[in-house]
Amino acid sequence: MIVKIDNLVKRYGDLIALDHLNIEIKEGEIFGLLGPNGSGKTTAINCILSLLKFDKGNIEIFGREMKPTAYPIKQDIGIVMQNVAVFEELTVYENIDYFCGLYIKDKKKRKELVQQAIEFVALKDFVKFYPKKLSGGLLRRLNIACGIAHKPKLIILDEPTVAVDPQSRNNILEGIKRLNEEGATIIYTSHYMEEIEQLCSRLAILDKGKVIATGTKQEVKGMISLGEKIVIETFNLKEEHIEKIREIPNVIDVELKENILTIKQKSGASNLVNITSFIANHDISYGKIYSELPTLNDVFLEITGKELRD
Amino acid sequence: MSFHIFKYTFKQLIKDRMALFWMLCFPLILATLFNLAFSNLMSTESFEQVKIALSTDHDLPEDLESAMKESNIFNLSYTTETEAKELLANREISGFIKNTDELELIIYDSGLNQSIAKVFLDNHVQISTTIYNIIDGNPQLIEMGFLENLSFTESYTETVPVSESMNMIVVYYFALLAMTCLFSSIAGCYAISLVQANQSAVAARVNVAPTKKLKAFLSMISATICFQFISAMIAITYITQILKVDFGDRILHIVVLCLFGCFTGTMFGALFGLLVKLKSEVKEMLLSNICMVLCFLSGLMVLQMKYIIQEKAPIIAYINPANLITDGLYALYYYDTFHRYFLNLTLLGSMGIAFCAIIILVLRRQKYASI
Repeated sequence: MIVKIDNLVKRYGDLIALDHLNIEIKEGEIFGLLGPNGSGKTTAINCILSLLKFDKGNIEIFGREMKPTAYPIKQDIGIVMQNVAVFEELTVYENIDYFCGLYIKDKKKRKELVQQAIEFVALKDFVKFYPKKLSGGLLRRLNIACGIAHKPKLIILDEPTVAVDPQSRNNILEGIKRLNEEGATIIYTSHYMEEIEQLCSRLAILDKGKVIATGTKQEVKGMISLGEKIVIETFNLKEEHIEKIREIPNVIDVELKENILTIKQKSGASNLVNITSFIANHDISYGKIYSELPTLNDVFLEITGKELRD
Repeated sequence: MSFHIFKYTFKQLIKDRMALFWMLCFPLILATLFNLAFSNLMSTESFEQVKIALSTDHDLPEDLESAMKESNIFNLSYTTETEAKELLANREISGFIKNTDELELIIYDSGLNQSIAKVFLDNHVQISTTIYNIIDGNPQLIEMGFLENLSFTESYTETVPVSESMNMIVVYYFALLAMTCLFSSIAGCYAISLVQANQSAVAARVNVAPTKKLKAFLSMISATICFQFISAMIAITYITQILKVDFGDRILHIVVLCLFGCFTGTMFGALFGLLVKLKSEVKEMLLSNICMVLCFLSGLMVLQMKYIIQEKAPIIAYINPANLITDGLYALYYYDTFHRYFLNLTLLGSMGIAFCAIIILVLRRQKYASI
């Protein structure tokens, strides 16, 4: 186990930021921490890194207890902060070299690692630029380079794509996949479920400091009753039709919003044929029809009763 | 200490325009303004002896002549009364003394030199008359050694040898150097924000690294002290070589005092940054204001303030690092001895070490309740 969080409790006065958190992260996986803003993702990361005091619990990294003076453990950790953490007065190269130098003493080796990090984040043309001259996306890439230049075994990325354009976001996500392929274990926090779905092999969903679901994507989605969603664009649907659709076997819920009919059904055999037959038999005019599997947002919604981005 | 962190902290300071302005350019600008304001006052005013002629037409009391020579106040010449009048008319002498029925000082017009001569002569006449009157009534006093005892005086204060050439305006430049040293406190405050994870994202990243926090802090602080010390040296070179202000011949001692000043200033800023829980910008603004107040109390804006504080609230003078620097430089310049200089140096160094010790105690194994 690379990271083991056992019964972690963190309070800010009366507010419980982390409520008996239990997480285990295995070597070589990309582990996602998903949750809305204020769910405790960053607090958990800060506790893992021993930056924050916690009230109860235990954290082990690489099988050893993590504490502020655990320098051998820190040697193999890389962190990419939510806020860009670089020096304004140093160039791109100098910033990467500075942070890499906190881990790597050998100058020759460091030079190679810095070059590799620059190439990894594609900042070769900007090495002499100062951070204030970089765009938001490039700045995020610099932030990542500063965190991974020393080739850590465990990389923690705390919402690295906040306020980044879609192209830079894709670059960042592709880069994270490559880091994982090169052998690094990744902890990735985000409130974007799409990113977690795209990137992570396992995940934990946090809400109010508690893990409400954990496992692989399939395992997490399997925790809820929803198996499929059928979405139909309709034009002359009546209330009686909706009631009849509700009576179709395995249908859990039916919802009509501005001509869009969403039918939720239990996992198992698909109801798409039954539904389309019903529409045809009742002369309901329709536009597009499609079926989709439940998302992590559906998981969050079913468990907490609110949307991830509420 | 980590040379890697030292090197990059120094680089940052050189590239930081604000730091360059406040820590290097501002003292040079202020020194230039001082020079413009004080240029007419900077020349050392030497005392010119009062030119007095002694009339040879009548005998003058011997004791008056010898007293005037011993006083070193007068430039005496011996002429006839006619020649003396001529010299007086040509303003070649301030006055002449003649002895007809009594001692008389003849002057052409009033002024400082004439007043000095008049006060001296009146004083002499008064003392002489008093002594004659006493002896006239009691001649046995001569045998009892009265005249020898007259010259006996007991001093109850220690006479400290002072430098011959001195200029009080120099104290302004000393206060300016103190300010230059103390401005390192702002960089010290910034340095501490880079090792406290709850102060900045960069600090959080530094804390996560396997570099010991104290090692990182001491490396950053050393670079800050070094940068500020170089700034102080540039300021001294500029003031003494370009503005031609005479700091005396104890430059090495001045350099040592400035080094101590930079050390204490930096530690003061770091301690302030460590203990005060405000935003970085607010802390730095407060700190620069505190520095200016400390410099004001050491005589940067009003020279008399230094003496008022020394007299009315000596404790403040002893705990004010700006005053310790100013006073140390003043002692070097004014006194031939080193006692007061070393006292200031010791107090300044002790203060810096005490600040450093507190910082180390607080920083050790620090974890944060919130970030």
